[in-house]
Amino acid sequence: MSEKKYRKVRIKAGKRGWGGPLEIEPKPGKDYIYCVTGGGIHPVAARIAELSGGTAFDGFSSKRDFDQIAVAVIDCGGTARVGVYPMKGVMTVDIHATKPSGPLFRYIKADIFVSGVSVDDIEVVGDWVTAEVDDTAVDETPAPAVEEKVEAVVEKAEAEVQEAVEEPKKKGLFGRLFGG
Amino acid sequence: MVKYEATVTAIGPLVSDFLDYNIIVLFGQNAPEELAEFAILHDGQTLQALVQPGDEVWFDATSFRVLAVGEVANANLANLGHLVVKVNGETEVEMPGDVCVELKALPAIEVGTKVRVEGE
Repeated sequence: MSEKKYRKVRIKAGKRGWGGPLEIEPKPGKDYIYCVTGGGIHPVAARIAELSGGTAFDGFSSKRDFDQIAVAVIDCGGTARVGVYPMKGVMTVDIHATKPSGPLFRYIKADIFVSGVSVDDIEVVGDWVTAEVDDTAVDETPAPAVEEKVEAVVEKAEAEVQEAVEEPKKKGLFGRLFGG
Repeated sequence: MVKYEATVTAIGPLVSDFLDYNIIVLFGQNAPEELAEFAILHDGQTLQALVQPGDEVWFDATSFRVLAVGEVANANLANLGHLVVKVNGETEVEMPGDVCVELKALPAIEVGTKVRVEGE
């Protein structure tokens, strides 16, 4: 047995976001911050882990049971992931500003889902609580923070989209689509 | 040019729930199990150029003209092999991950189906 420290954090909807606030309090056996964004641990997941004492891990490279997950962090564009985790009863944080939509929209409620979240939307609301942890049941390996990769991919895509917006022959259509 | 190509490797048991809404959800093969349930998995690798309106999405010999591309759709495809095709004829996306295509009968998709995105 060893000791781990946890504390409660509150996550509110960001600019243009929806739902929440959610209060997340990792505890022994249910302390994983499940990052389902691809490309490693997203900065929002890393921040939740840092402030709450939870353990971030990448859902695209390893697996945990849902009952071990304190919160799932997704970057869903509004159709699949926004509904899957709430449907499974998992607190869900979407970094994109989505609202209930898609075939699973009925599972997306403000008490289990919050969107548009950035690192600034996470605040500490409790004191550190020390808990006894069974080492055999909990993987202590820290998840590597490879946040640059996700950001780089998104930035590159956005830059290229911006270029496309500038392209005169597409301007009318893109202008409508991207507000620009 | 071919911007993206892939072969379908598995079809999740709940894919039809999305097809009922004219939504085709693709994910790369390393998608977590709970997403694989809802997804058509494939072996696609590299996005060669950004998907944009005017492109065509092909499922074997059936093509669908792309009408609108959400602001995170290209990052999803590049990063996760994740593509949400809404067969709805809309020229504006509802959600940032959407790729809207012309409205016509859904293609037959099975293991082995070739998926391609072609465009200028």
